[in-house]
Amino acid sequence: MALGVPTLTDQRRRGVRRTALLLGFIAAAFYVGFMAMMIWRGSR
Amino acid sequence: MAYDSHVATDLDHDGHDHKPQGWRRWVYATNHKDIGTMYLVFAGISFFIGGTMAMLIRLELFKPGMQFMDPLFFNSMTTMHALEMIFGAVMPAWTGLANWMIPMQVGAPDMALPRLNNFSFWILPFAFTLLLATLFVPGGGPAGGWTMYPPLMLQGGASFPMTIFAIHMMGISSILGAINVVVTIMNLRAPGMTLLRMPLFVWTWLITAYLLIAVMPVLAGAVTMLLTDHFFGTTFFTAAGGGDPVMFQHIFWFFGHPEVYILILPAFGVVSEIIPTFSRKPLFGYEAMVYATASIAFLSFIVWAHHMFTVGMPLAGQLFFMLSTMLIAIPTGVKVFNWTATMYKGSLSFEPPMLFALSFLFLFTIGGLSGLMLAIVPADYQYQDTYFVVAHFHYVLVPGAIFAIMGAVYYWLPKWTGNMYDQTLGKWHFWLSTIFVNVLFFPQHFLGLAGMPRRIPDYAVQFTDWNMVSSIGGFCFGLSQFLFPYIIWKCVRGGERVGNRAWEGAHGLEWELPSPPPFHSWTEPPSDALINRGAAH
Repeated sequence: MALGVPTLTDQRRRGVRRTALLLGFIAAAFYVGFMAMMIWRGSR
Repeated sequence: MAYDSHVATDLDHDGHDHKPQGWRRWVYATNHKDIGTMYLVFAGISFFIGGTMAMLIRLELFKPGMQFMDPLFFNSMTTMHALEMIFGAVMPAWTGLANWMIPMQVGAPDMALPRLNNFSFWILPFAFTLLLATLFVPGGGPAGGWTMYPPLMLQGGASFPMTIFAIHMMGISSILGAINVVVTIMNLRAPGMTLLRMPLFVWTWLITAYLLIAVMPVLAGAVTMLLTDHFFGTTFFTAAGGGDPVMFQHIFWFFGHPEVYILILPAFGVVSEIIPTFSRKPLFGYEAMVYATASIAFLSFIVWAHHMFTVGMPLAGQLFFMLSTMLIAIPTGVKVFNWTATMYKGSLSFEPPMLFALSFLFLFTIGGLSGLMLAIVPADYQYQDTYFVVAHFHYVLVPGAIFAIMGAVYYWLPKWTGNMYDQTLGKWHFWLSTIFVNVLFFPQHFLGLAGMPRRIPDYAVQFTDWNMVSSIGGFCFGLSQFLFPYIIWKCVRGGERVGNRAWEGAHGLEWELPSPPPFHSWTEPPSDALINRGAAH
């Protein structure tokens, strides 16, 4: 790592990873859930 | 505040500031300012491409009869103009501003996920190349309107799957960008920067990012179903197979109405930054502004079917969507009141950012009021699919969103470059834009009320006069926009040097950094004193 480049402390890095994964999961769940709901409705 | 509770600086290695040079700086960019600049340049290019399409539309509509293009090309111009301006100009411009400003405003060194940030941006040029390439394939570009309603959209030629794929890519870019914004705001705020001390631009972007995460997957799902209807024999939206084309409209507008607020909420944030600065007063009702923004975002999820009153729905549905739509006027009214109250007894001055913010205040309100008219079900039966609707949403988006973007650029450009721009030219840009945007769009109210339908290349002769006025306004507005890149280019090349606080009345952490700011914004978190000084409310 070069001089002056800020790096995150472990605690912050964990927070970043946790929030990012949670939001990514929500977006993916919305997408898949939405499609599943539509397929269910379309096949009734 | 303890330094290592926030960021640490690795001093062990090779002594340069890790700033790649040449093309690598941009292609491999992970720095929030570089990525922000790329977003803004991309948005500017899209603005002129989309603007050229608008000029072609106004050229064809200058007088009745078919003049320059066949109807299919005209329809593809209206469709592409919308896609280009919404997904290519306004949304990337806001993301660019978010990239530049959010880390500086919350006291962070950079965005939380820099490589994801790079990926989010670099998806866009490919998505839009694909979208623009549709103009050159057999059958021409998509011509069914940006709303992509089936069955019309399903009748498209080779452009159809290309458009769907381009929209998927834009959606992925937006979702990843939104995740980055939320993660940055929730995790990288400086110690002491509590949520209710954050600048309004950060607040509005946080709420916008949640909207994006909630609705972009819905759009992606909807267009995927269009794709499978077209190529894989499903009948989600095909009545012959038991599907329902109206269902697409519900799904689309469940995305589409929050999308409108995705385009405008960051504008509220920008105006809430600019007006206090040039009124030399704290923002009136900071917390009310935050709650109003959140209320608007919530309401945006329960109003979608006001776009579909004439499609047919039960009376109870019409009443619900009419009343929920009208409810939005309350938090929006709170905002307009608070901006006005901020100026009351302020020491006002009228530099270009303030002029654009004031123009926003008046003209966006006109767009909001015509929106209220459209919310009234029986009246909407008259206005639906006329030029009144075109006038309404252009008032919201051009002197609304786009003027706020221009105001934001004029506000923060001295911070970004360290140079003051030519304010006289900036005022010329403002006055020409404001005058001609009204010449362009105001007559469209009259055309709509008189019954001129939207999305047609030809019209009845009684609509000629106002169409000519509108087209002349459009050409003059379009020409005056060339001042904008010229002013920016001139400012980037040089100009009167500015200090940290480029505007006398400016408050906020970004104004505590040098102008231009260092490559990594806050390598050490700002002190409580700095945060307090910035939080002027």
